[in-house]
Amino acid sequence: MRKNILSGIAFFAILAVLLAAASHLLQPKNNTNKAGMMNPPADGILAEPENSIDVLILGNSQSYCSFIPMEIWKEQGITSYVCGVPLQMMYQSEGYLRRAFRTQSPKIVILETLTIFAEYSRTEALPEKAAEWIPLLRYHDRWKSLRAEDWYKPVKYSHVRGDKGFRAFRGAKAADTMDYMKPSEEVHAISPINIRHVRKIQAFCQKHGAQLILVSAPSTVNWNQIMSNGIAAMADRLGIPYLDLNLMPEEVPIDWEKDSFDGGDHLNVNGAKKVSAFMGKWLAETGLFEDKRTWEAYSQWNQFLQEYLEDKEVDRTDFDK
Amino acid sequence: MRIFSLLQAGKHATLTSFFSPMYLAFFLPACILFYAVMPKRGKKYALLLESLGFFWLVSGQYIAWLLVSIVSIWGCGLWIGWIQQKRDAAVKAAEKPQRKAIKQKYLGYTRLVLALAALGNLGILLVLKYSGFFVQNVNSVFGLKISVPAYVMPIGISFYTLQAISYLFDVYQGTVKADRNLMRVALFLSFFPQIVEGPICRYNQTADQLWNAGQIRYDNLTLGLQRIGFGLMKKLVVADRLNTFVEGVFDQYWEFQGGVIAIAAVCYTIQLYMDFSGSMDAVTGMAQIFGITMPENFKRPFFSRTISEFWTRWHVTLGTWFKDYIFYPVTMSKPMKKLTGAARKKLGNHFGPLVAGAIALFCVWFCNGVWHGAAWSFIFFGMYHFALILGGSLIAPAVKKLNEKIGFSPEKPFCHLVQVLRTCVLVVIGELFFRAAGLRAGMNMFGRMVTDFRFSSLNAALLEALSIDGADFLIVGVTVLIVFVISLLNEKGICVRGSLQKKPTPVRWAVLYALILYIIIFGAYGVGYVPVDPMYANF
Repeated sequence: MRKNILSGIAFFAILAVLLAAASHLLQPKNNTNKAGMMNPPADGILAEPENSIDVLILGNSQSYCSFIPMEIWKEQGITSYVCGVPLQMMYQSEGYLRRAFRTQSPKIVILETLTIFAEYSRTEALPEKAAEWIPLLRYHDRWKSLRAEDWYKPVKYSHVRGDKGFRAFRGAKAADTMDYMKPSEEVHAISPINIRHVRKIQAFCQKHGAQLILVSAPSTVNWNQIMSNGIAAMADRLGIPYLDLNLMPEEVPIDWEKDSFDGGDHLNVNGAKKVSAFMGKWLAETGLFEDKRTWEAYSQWNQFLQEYLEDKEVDRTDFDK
Repeated sequence: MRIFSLLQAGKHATLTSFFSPMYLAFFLPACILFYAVMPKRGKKYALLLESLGFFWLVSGQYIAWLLVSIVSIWGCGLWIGWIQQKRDAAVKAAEKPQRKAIKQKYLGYTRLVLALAALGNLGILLVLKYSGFFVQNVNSVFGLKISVPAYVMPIGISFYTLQAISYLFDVYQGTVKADRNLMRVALFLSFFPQIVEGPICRYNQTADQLWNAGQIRYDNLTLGLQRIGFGLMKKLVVADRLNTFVEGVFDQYWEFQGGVIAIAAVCYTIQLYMDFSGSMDAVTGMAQIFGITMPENFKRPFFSRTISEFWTRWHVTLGTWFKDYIFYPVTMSKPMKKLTGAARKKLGNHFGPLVAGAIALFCVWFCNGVWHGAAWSFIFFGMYHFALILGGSLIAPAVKKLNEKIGFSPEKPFCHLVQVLRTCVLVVIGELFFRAAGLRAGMNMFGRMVTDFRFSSLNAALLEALSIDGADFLIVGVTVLIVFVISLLNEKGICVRGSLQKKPTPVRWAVLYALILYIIIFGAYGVGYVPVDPMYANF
């Protein structure tokens, strides 16, 4: 019996070493699409200089369509990064949060609230959670594009992105605002599993000296008063500040004729500028941040700002660069 | 509270796949652990509880159907046993000339009970599975508008119903004794690894093993896990990787050339084999962990030289069920015996018995087709095999003569290979109809294969549209080769698992590490992949 237990321990110990070695081999060696990274815009945070990000933004497509870190930088000198991926689930938000905090110590974490309504099964989340420990599970498919350098090159995330996770969508398509934010007393239920994720994110932020903020980005298609009530009730219960930008037409004056590229589903650059202007001001008013625009260590932000102002920021087709 | 939410009835359809993370990472380890910590006397109850719990988690309230089957076959089994006991006592007490009449009288009673129980169980299956198909056809033939029923089927009903009927027949025929123990009958019918996709076990194969299952032994645990790993490789590396290609071509076949359809049909046959036999590896492996030996459901079918041989190697337990409970009873029935006698006189010793045999064979293949699903394509699938097997028997003397004339000896390696390839081609054609979205689609696909057998459109752009590339086909090819080599060795009588078990630890471990890493690296899971649902779970 004892022999069997020892042999079992030895077997799994060797297996762990092999998995670590295979993980290293197949893990992208840089945070670019070419190197095999899955979500290069969101994973761009891995290449940001240590402790250089003030505000971390998490969420699904609403997050990377609504917040422009360069606008916030331009107006307030606050650094922010959007770790948003399409259809982000709460367990993924949690994963990005943990990964980001390995090298950053943002003071504010913004969670875009549409993600809180995304339902998922535990089965779906399991491989993703396991991949936090065994990256091989996430990047196993890279065997197809494995190169000689993958065998010896160390992992070094060096591609600093100018978009800071924002994805610029131009063009405009008018939204139907007939039922948009129609008053209601109803409260949309939030799944217990997602409430648990919000609690965990909140606890993680508290432990690391950050403040979690819930923000609902403007969207006529995805958002309504009932959902807003649901988030407000939960935020109230958990003691998390909540901003529903859909209910703030004066502060965030979205023109639904011009500020969405897909009929109210997501904001275009114009709409995102309005959101970012408000959020920048709001963040500055917290008094948590210093204006770093003149700091030498942040000169690269100013370079990226120039490119952004010259309208050189990446096009939709280049997101995965 | 969270524990209770995890135990919600009928909310865990993902458990039907033995290879889902939920099953492999939580359900199976929990079952093994629960079983291991139970005292020896309680292990059988642990297995029963796990089995009913599994059914409850997957099918919820529909567990009632399973319970009805369990109680009905247990009760009717005892009833038949009681009648047989009374018969024996009456025969013993009677004078010799009266004995035949007494036997006949009691035979009538047992037959009545058997029919009642068998038709009752079959009736549940017929109503739940086939009533929609039946009403649809009645509507289209008679121009009626009867609303088509669509019942929810509990998991594994097609499998456990056949097991239930086999138990009743075995009691009736006296090959097993009616069991007084309801729990044992329940465990026989509901054992959780086998209830989803089989194998279809006989009472004397597994009931006592399950009831007397003992401690988990280290060698059983390791061997069982190995077997599950082998099944996982088949499913994850091959079946799931081919899924997008097979689905893409079969769902929109009209956009593809006949050559591409032929490749998709071959890929589907490989996918089906890897999925189903992989699941059977998992079932056998799981059972082995508990110290139970399951009957093998696959015996290297693609080495078959004829279609009838193929069906003695593919889904073996279904084939033997049909043979034992349909083919033999039909051919051995009095009218058939009479028919055979008369036909033998007129048609000779080869063709004479074929008349009754053909009727029995028709029944077998009609039932086989229908068992697979309520659709004309499945009935066609059955009839296709009926025609091939019967045709093979009819032309056998002529073929024999022709072979002798041209010097074609079926035992020569080349001739053997030709026969194997011919069988494979016939199987692939059958599977094309099996997978097609209906009989008409199957016919159209087959038509395209025959009239437009070209591959010119098969290029990188087409493969990209079907979410597959050359590297995918390469890894599928390598894995199929691995499975082929292992099958070839087994075919030659070399037990690969047994040989591996005798090797020194470093060699064994190296093989296991290779298998684990192979599955993790080359498995088709994660972003961009859609796993194929367990293919036989819906039958």
